[in-house]
Amino acid sequence: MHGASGASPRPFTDTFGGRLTGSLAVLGVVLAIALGLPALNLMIPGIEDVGGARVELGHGVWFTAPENTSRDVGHDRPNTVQLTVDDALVTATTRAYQRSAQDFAEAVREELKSRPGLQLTGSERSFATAAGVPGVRLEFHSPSQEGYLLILVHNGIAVDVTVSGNGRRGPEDGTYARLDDALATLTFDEARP
Amino acid sequence: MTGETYDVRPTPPDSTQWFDPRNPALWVFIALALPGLWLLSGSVRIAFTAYPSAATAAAVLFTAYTVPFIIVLRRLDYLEREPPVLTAMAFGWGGVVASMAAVDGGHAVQGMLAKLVSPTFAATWGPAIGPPAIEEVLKALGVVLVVLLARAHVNSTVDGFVYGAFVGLGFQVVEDFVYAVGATAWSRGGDDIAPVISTFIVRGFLTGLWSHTVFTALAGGGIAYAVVNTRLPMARRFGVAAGAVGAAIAAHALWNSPLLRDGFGFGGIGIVGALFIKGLPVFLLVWFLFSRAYRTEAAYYGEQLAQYDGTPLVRPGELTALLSYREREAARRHAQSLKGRKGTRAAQAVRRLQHLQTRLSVLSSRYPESPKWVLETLQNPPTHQWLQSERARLGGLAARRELPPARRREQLHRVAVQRCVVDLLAQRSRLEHLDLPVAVGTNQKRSPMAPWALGLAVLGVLVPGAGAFAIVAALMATRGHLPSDGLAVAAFAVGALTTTGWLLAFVLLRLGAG
Repeated sequence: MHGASGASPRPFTDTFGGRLTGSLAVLGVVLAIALGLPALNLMIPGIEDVGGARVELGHGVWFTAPENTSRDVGHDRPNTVQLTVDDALVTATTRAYQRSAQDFAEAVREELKSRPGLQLTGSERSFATAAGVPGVRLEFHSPSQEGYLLILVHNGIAVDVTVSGNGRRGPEDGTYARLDDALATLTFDEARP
Repeated sequence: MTGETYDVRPTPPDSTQWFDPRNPALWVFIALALPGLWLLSGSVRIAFTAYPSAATAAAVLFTAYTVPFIIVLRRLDYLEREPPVLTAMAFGWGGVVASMAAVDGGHAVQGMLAKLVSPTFAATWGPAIGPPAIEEVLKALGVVLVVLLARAHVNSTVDGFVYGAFVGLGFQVVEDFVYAVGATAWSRGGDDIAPVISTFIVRGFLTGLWSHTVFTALAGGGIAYAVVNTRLPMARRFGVAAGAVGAAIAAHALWNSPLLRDGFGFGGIGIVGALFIKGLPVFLLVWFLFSRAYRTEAAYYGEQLAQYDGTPLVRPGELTALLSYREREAARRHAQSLKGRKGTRAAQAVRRLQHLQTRLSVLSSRYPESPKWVLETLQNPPTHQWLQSERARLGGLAARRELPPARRREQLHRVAVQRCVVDLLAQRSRLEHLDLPVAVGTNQKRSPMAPWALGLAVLGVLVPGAGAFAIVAALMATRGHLPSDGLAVAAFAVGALTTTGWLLAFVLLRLGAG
C-alpha cells in the first residue's frame, strides 16, 4: 500500500549515530555563525590611521579627527562611524531629524533609564561647534565605563557622538580636551538634507 | 495498487513519539533555544521598559499578524497535518535560535566585507550578501533539526514546505518586532507608535508575503524532498536540498539588494512596484513548487482512500472534491447554500466529513491492516443506536492498559481506524438527514463582479477605503449570499483584513498623537 515501496536501507536519520552526528553538525554550524564569524572578523585587520584627516560621519556631516585616531572599518554601519582616540572609543551616528537637540536629549534620557547599570550623572554642558551650531552634552557612567554623549541638530540632521573610556574612569582629561577641540570642527553640509 | 511510486513516506506504525529524551536533537534544540531565549527576552525587556507603548503596539500588531499566516499554513497542510508541537518548535527555532544567532554573524560578515573589499561596498552590497546567506542557512537548519527530531513526521515534500514556513514565520515576526521598536528608538521622538505603524504597513502588508516565511518554505521543501525520496541517488537528493537552500539565499539576496531601490524614479508608486517585481516572482515560484508537491501528496492519499470508494465512507465524486482545496470549499459552499440553519449545519457536517475522510486516508497509509478493520466495521448496519454504542465501546477499549505493549499498540491502531469509520458514518447519516447524500460542490456560474471585487480588495492594501468598497462589491456580486462564490469570499476576506488594518492604524496613530 505504501507509495514509497522497495527495500531501501534504514535512513541515516533513524539511527542514534545519525541523529547524534546530524545534531552535532547543526550545533556546530550555529556556533560557527554566532561565535566563529565574529571571531574571524576580529582577526582580520581593518584599522586605519585617520589622525588629522577629515572624516565623513554621514548625511554630509564631517569633522577633523584628532591626532592618534584610528578607525575600524569593520565596525562601520550605515551612518555610523566608530573611532578610537587614545584610550577613548568614539561612536558617531547621523540621521534625518526634524525636532530639536533638547527633544533628542530627552528621548536619550528616557531610553537610558531602561539600560541596567548605565546612568546619567545629571551633569549637562552646553557645546558649540566652531561654526556656532549648539549642542547638548550628557555625561553618563556605569560600573564598567564612563563618558559623555554629544547631541547636535542642525538643518534637519542630528548627530550624536558617544565618547566612552575603556576603563572605569573613562578617558583621560587630555583626551577629553583634544576631542572637544576636534568635535568643534564638525561641519554640516548646508545644501542637505 | 497501481505500482506507482510517490515521494510520500507515511509515518511507520511502530514509530516512537517525537519527544524522546535519548534523541540528541532534542538536547541540541534546548541547548540553543535557552541562550537564544535569554538574549531575546533581554532585548524585549529593554524594549518594553524604554518604549512601553511602541513595544506593546508592535507585539499586538505582529502577534495578530501571525494568525492569518498560521490559518493559511494549516489549511495548506490539510491532508496530513503536522503535530502542533513540532510546528511550534519550528516557529521557536526561527524566532529564537535563528534570529538571535544571525545578529552577530551578520555584523561580522558586514565588517569583513568592509575590511576585505571596501566600506562603501559593504554599505551598498553587504545587506545582500551577509544576512541572506547567514539567515537562510540558520533557518534551514531548523527544518534539519525537525527531521532529526521526528523524521517519521516528515512524510512528504509538502511537510518540508510547512515546517520551513513555520521556521520563517517565527523569524519574520521576531525580526518585525525588533525593527518596529528599533524604528521608534531611531526616530528619537520618545515612546511614539507612529514608526511602529509605518513598519507594520511596510513589513507586514507590502513586503510580508514574500519574506522569510516564503524563503524558508522553499528551503524546507528541498530538504524534505531529500529526506523523503530515499530511493533516488544521493547526489540528486543532496543537489535538490542544496539548490533549494541556494534559491532561498538568492531570493533573499535579490530582495535585500540595492537593485530597483529608486523605484525607477517614479517615487512611492515606483518603489512599491519594484517591491512587487523583486518579491512576487519568488512567491509564485514557491507556490508553483508547493502545488506540485501538494498534487503528489494528494494523489498518494487519494489512492489510500480510493479503496473505500463507493462505500458510505466515500461516495462517488467525494474523492475528487476532497483532494483539491477549491473543490473542498465548493462542497462546503454547496452545503451552506441550503436554506436557513440547515445550510450552516450541513456545511459543518461536510467540513467534519472531509476532515474524517482525510484522517482515514492517513490512518490507512500508516496501518496496512486498515482495510480489514474498516470492512469489519462496515458489516454492521449504521443505525444511530449502533453508532453510539460502538463509539462508547471503542472509547473504552482505547483506555485498556492491561495488554502487552505490541498487542496494545495494535489495538490502539485498530480503535483509531474503527472510531474514525464510526464517526464518518455518523456524519454521513447526519448529511442524509439534511438531504445532502453526497458532499460535492456544484458548478455555479460566477458573477463577473467577483474578480473586480477581489482587485479592489488587493488595492485596499495601498489605498485606505478600497477594502470597504471590495466588501460591498463582494456582497453585491453574490446578492448577499457570500459563500456561493469563492472569489467573492476571498475579496470579502482581503477587504475586511485591509479595512481592519487601516482602521487599526488610524486608531493607533490617533492614540499616539493623543
